[in-house]
Order: sequence, then C-alpha cells, then structure tokens
Amino acid sequence: MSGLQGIGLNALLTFQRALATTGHNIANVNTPGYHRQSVLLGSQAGTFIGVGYLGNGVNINEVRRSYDAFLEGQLAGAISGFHQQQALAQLSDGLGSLFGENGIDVYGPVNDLFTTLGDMAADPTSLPARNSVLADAGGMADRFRLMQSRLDSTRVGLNQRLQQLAGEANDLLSNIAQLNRRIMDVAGGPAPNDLLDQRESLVNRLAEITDITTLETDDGALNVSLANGLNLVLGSQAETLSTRRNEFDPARLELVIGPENGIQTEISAQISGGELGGLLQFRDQVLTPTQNEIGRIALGIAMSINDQHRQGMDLNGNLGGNLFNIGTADVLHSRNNTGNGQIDVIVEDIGQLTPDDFELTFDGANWSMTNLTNGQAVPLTPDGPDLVGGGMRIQISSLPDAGDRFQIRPTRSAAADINVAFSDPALLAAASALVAATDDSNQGSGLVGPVTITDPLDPQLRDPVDIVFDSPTTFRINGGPPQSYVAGSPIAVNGWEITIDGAPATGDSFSVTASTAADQGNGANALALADLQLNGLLDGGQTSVSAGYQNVVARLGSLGSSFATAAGIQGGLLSDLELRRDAASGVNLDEEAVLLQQYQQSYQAAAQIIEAASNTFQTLLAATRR
Amino acid sequence: MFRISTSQIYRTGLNQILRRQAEVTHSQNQLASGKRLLSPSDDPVGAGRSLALTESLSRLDRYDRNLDVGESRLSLQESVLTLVQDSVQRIRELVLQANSAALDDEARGAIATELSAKVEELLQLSNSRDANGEYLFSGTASGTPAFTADFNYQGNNERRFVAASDGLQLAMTDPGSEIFADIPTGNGTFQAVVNDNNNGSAVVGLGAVTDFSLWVPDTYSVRFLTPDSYEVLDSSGGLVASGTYESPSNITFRGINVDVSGTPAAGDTFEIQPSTSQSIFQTVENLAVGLVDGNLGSTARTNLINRELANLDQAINRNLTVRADIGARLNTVESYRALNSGQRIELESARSRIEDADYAETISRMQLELTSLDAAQQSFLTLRGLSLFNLLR
Repeated sequence: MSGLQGIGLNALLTFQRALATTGHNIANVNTPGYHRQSVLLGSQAGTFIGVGYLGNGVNINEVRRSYDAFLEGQLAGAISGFHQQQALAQLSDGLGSLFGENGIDVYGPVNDLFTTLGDMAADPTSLPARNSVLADAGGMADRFRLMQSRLDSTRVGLNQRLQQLAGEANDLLSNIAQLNRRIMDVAGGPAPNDLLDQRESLVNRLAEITDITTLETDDGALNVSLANGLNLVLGSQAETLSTRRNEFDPARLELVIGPENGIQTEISAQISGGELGGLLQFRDQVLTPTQNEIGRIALGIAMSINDQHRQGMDLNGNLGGNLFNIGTADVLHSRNNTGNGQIDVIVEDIGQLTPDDFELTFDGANWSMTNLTNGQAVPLTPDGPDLVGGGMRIQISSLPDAGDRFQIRPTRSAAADINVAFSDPALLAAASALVAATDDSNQGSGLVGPVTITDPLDPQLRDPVDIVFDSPTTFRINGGPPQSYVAGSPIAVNGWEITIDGAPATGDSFSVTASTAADQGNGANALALADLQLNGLLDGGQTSVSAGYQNVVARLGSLGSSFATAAGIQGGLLSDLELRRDAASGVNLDEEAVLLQQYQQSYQAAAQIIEAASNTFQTLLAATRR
Repeated sequence: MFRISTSQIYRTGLNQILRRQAEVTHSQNQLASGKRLLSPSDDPVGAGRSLALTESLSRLDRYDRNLDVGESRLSLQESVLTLVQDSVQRIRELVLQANSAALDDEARGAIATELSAKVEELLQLSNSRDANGEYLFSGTASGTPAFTADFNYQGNNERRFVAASDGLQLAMTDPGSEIFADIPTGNGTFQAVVNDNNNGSAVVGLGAVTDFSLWVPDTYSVRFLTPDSYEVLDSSGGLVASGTYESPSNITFRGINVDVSGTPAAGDTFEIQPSTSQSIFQTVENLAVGLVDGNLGSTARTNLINRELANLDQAINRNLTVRADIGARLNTVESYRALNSGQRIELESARSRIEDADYAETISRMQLELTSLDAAQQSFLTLRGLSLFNLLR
C-alpha cells in the first residue's frame, strides 16, 4: 500500500520538476546563449519479491542541456571571422563613400585649376584670369585639407573604438574568470547548466571582439588564449587588455596585455579576427595607404606646379617663386631613443617617392632605411651632410645615439600642409623666363625649341647667350671656345638647356635672351603648367596625378566590395552554424507547449495514483470496520 | 527530425525584412540621385573609369575655352589685316596714278599728302589693341605699342600659343615685325637701285632670278659705258659681265635678269643689291617724300616709284600670306571645336553609361524588391500567428 502511495508521490514531484524545467525553457526562449534543458527520467530499481522485481516508480536521472560540442566549437571562430569582415566592410564602405557621389570631390578642384591655368595661358595679362588661378589653387588646397581632416577623424574614431573594445573585452575576461571560479567550485557534481551557458555566451561575445581559442580543463575551467597561445584567462585569473601609444606615433594606438603599471606585451600583430582584427586590418591595409597616396597626389601636383612655376617669369619681370607652400615630411622619434638626434626630411623627387612609411635607424656609424610596407631596404646616398634616397633628402642636424630609430612618413600629412604661397596675381609666372630664337638668316634647318630651366638659381641664368655654329658639328657660346655638337642632344648653358630640331648649318646662330616685364603677353609657362594635367608625374613618370587618384578610388572601391562579399560569406557561414546550433539547442515554444500538456497530464495521472492508493486503503478500512 | 527554435523564427524573419529594406533603400537612393554609382564599391572599375572620363571632359573644357579665346583673337587680327589690305590697295592705286607722266606737281603733291595720311593710318592699324587693351601686333610684349612714329618695331618675335587639343598648340598671335616690318625689298632676292643723278632716261624694272645656283649675293654695279654698252662690276671691282644694250632689253649675269628700258647716258649707273627688309610704313613714306622731291628728275622719280611699288607688292603678298595662315588656323579652330564636341558627346555618354541610373531598370528592380519585402513581412506575420499556445485556451 505505502508502495503505491510512494510511487504516486514520487511521480507527482518528478512531473512537477519536469514542468518546472519546461517552464524554465519557455522563460528563457529569448535568452542569448541559453541551451534548452530537459529532464532525463529513469525508472527506480525494483524491489525483489521472490517471484520477480516490483517497480518503484520514476526518478530524475539528470537535467541535461542540449549541447553539441562540435557545433559550439566552430561557433567562436565563425563569430570572429564575421565580425572582422563586417568591421572591415563597414569602415571601408564609409571611407569609400568619402570618394563617392556624396563625398568630398577632391579631383574636381584639381581639374578646375588646370582649366584656369589654361585660361591664363590664353590671356596672360588678364587679372581676372590670374585671380581665378589663385582662387582655384586655394580651392584645391582647401579640398585636400578637408579630405585629410576627414581621414584624420576616421583615425580618431578608430582609436576611440579600439579603446572601447579593449574595455569591453576586459569586462568579459574578468567575468569569464569569475564564472570559471564558480564552476570549479561545483566541479565533480552535476553540470551547472546555466553557469556554463553564461560562460559560453561571454566567450562568444569575446569572439566578436577578437579571435580566441579556448580549452576546457578537467577542473571545469575554460582557459581563453589568443591565436598565438598568449593566455587571456587562465582558470580564475584574467589578464588586462588595454591600448598604448605606438612607439613612434602617439596618434596610433596599439593593443597590449599586462597590468597597467607592469610589463605590457604588444599584441596588435597577434589579433587577426573579431572587430579588433577588422579595425587593425582596416587601419593598415585601407586607411593608411589611402591617406599616404592622397598625400602623394597632393604633393605631386603642388611640387610639379612649383617646379614649372619657378621656370617662369611674373608680371614684374622676376622669376616665379613657389605657388604652393609644402610642409616637411613627418619624422617620428621612437620613445626608446636615448639620443637627441635632429632629423628633417624633404621630398625632393616626387617621381621616385612611393606612398609608404619608412624606418630610419642609426647604428652609431651608418644609417639604414627600410620601407615599412614591403620590408625592403632603401639605399641611401650621402650628399654633403645629407642622405638622399627614395626621392627624399634626409637632413641630419645632430646625430642621435647608436640604435636610435625614426619613422619617416613623407606623404601622410602632406595633403593638409599645402597652401597657396602668395595672393598677388601679378606674381603668377605665366611667361617663360627665357626666350630662345632662331636667327632669321640661318641657312640650316635647325629650329630651336623652348628653353628648359634646370637650375633657377644660376646667377647667370638670365644673361643673353648667342650660340653660333662654326660647322654643323661645332658651336661656340658667346664667342667662347668651340664645343662639339651632337645632333638632337641638348645644349646646356647657365642653368638652362635648349634642344635644336633639325640640322644647323655653318654660320647659323641661335640666341637665348631673358624675357622682360614688357613680355607680359607671354603665356608659355602657363601653357606648360596647364599641360601638367596630362603629364606622368608619379612613379618615375609612369602615372599622371589623375591616374593616381583614379587608382585610389578604384582600389578603395574594390576593397570595399570584396570585404562586403567576404562579410556576406562569413555572415552566411555564421547564420548557418547558428541555425544548426539553434536546431540542436534552441527553445521551440510549440515543443514546450506539447511537453507542458504531456507533463500536466502525467501529473494528473500521478495524482490519480495517490487517489487509487487512498481508495484502496479506504476499501480495506471499510472491510475491517464490519 | 529537424527542430527550429522560436527565436530563430523571429530572427530569420527580421533579417529577411531588414535585408529587403536595405535593398529598397539603395534602389530608392539611386532613383532619387539619378546615379547608379553611389559609392566606389558599387563598381570599382567604373568609379575609376568615370573619374578618368571626368578628367578628359575637364580637359576638353579647357581646350574649348582656349579655342574661344584663340578664335576671337585670330578673327580680330584678321579684320585688322583686312583693313590694312584695303589701305595698301588704295595706296597702290594712288602710286599708279602718280606714276603717270601727265600729272603735274600739284596733283602729285595731293597724292603725296594722301600717302602721308595713309602712313599714319597704317601705323594706327599696326598698333591696334584688343578688348583687354593689349597691342595685337607686339608679339608677347603686348603692353608696348608695336611701332613708334618713326617705324621702329618695339615688340618681340614671340607668339602666344593656346592648347587646342592634347599635344596640339595653336599660335593665336603673329608678331608685327613679320606683318609690317620685315618685308623683303625688290623681288625678294635683289633690288635695283638707280643712281638719282643719271642723265639718261633708262628705267630699271624688278628683275628676276633665272638660276639660283649661279646667284651670288653681292652689290653689283651696272655702268653704261656708252648708251648701248654696259659692264657689271662686283663690289670688289671685278668685271662680272659686259655687253651691248638696246632698249628694252634684259641685262643678264650671275643667274639673274634685270629688265632695263629707255635710253641711258654714258656713265649712268645702277646697283643690284641683295634684298634687305623694309617696313611697309617706310615704303609708303619713301613714296610720299619721293613724289614731291624737287631734286628728282622724272626718270629718277619713275625709278623710285618702280622700286617702291615692288616693295609695296611684297607687303601686299606678306599680308595675304599671313591672312591665309590666320584663315587656316581659324579653320583648325573650327575643326578642333567640332572634334572636341564630338569627343565630348562620346565621353559624356560613356560616363553616363557608367554613372547614371537606368530608370526603367532601377524602377522595375525596386518594384521587385518591394514585392519581396512585402512577401517577407506577410509571411512573417503568418508564421507569428501559428503558435500552439494560441490553441491551448
């Protein structure tokens, strides 16, 4: 009798717990990382009654969560991959749209400047035409500055996000370590399902920030480390993740682990996944190359216009100066430097300059320079007290200590440092400074071409020069000693050179004279300035500035679209994994509704068992009362 | 049995709706802006290409503006040179009138006065200015008048060029030295200068070169030993040729012919000099002075008129040559303008194909996207209503 009552009571309690578990599932239908739990029922061992075993009712063997270790193991990697690509795609798209339809049109003002330079060539005495050149030159510089400031603010935003993510990751790491402690405390007993769920969801949130690997130990702790094995959480101990200024550049943040006042290890290079990985990759592969190239283009335009402008003559009859002021290259000192070396870098040859950053080191006797993009050494040639290499002139005004290092960024901030050097339209050098003439009475077919100024500082630059041919292969300069003439090769005198097309005959003469202020209608230099639009100025004359700009935009566009595609693929992978994980572990309300019904009915039936036992007992009582 | 979790139903439904909404928004942006390329990542190659096309278009703008300036400058020059031509033609008529023996001193005086006025007129024309106040014919020294009152050229020999197309530069000015000043005298190779003190009535014509290979530039002196014999000496006194003369006949030596008519007196001389250059002003001035020069006999006057008439014809020829050249350049301007505008249409349509939204295509795509957004919303609503709990009441 008591057996039946016991079975009934036991079943009643069991189904109550099963109902509670179903309720727990329903309550957690929206909890992230929650794994559906179910009670595993088993029958109680029977009592031997001679003829056999009599059942003792039901028992809860285990409350188990639906957990597929294989799927869960893949999930963290997929989350890191997706968030990395998503960050990359979003940031690249944001940067790309700066160059898009609603962005900052840098190249429009450049084209405008060349158009007004052409107007000045056609009408060199017109002050309105000259003022338009100055206005467009200023407009171009402004636009480059605006672009630069937007690129800089992208960098500032990126730094803020890095700090924010490092802070979030720190919270997650210490929470995981705390959960590890609580789980280790109950190790050996039944699985603490909800603690495990919580810990997993923290790990997955951490995977959104960076790529990690995890290892569960026998004592129940989950150790979290970076891809290269550096531990972030070991048992109940969590490392501190933070940002630190770059060795060279205070505006560049690096990620470090280690106590705030202790030894910190730089881990930027080890992070390749998660949003942090995406941010770092964006900074090095998209933002920096773009900014450097925009700087190089701005520098290319300004320097070539300056070079040509200095060859011309202004309305006052003076040689042209620089139209644009250009800043010097950024030189950053390592914070580990012990010496006080003073170094300045000037871009000399824009055709040789690459849009890269460089590292300059001094070993106590020799200097060496490395291109930080491709890791290759850049040969340096001494030139007086300076070093020349890669299109740059490195001026060393005081020597640093041995082992000191410097980072050189010739183009990074170049776009912001350009401005128009003067505001007087008369100073625009539209005229050519020197005029070459072929004597009318020449017998030969030689025709002198325009004068190219090679050294505007030559003191005798503007002295008149007569070149008279003694024979078709020899000539004298101002009656000086005969010099041999090679057809087609330039004749260089006093900081300029000319080329003669055709064959000069004996007695032919050519003259080069300085233009004077009276030569105000001469627009030859303005014409040469306007034609710079077409000329290859970058990469050793291979690339025009507009082609360079097109490359920037096309590169940004294709990076943006390939990152977006990759993010789509990673997103698909992730949602497929989540789908399968949810299929195994998620809560389905319909399923729980069925179980609710089932357990409710079972509960009612168990209550009937107790009633049956009670009725049986009442029957006995009634029988014995007689 | 494949399970689906309830949160998954909601999440999937939401994601579908969000994705459709993003598509619709993108299409809507394309329609609103009329641009297919909203960001370089929409079509990286197209974005680069469209920039290249924009740059080419801006260069065409520059060339077109240059052509406009060049054309107005050339047309202005042309119209001034036409006035010069009219004026020189009138001068030529006057000179021919003056050459008539029937004219008395008074009539020649009147012609000389008119010629002097023409010199002033020509000077004024040569110092014409454009709308900016620049002197048209001073070369690039355009702030300085081309010629002084005593016919000195003050400009330079430079031309101003504009870019008319990639690699093509077009001269839009011609220096006044070429048009007015450096005009060859005589027939362009040599000129005959008759001694004013000759006593005979021989008149020397323009002459011509018959064989350039024999011509040696030098000053030759032709002397009539008697009225019917002559000798030709070079500048160092060497005898070059001699012969008999009968009016009219050609005196021939060193590859040239000099036509002489009339009767020379013994001892009369004339010189054959290599051509030099003389400004048109000087030519007209010489005529104006010569016509009223009382020291000149009628033969000397005729010889002077003949000589300066040849110089005038050289000036007329030069004017025609320069105008033909300007006309050719104006034609070039026209043809490059046509070329540029053809190219502009090409480039613009190429850019439009890359950049601009195809409205028909975009609208129909957006319709499709709206339909699928609607379907995603409807199906989500339907799915949401299906819960067992709804039935358990």
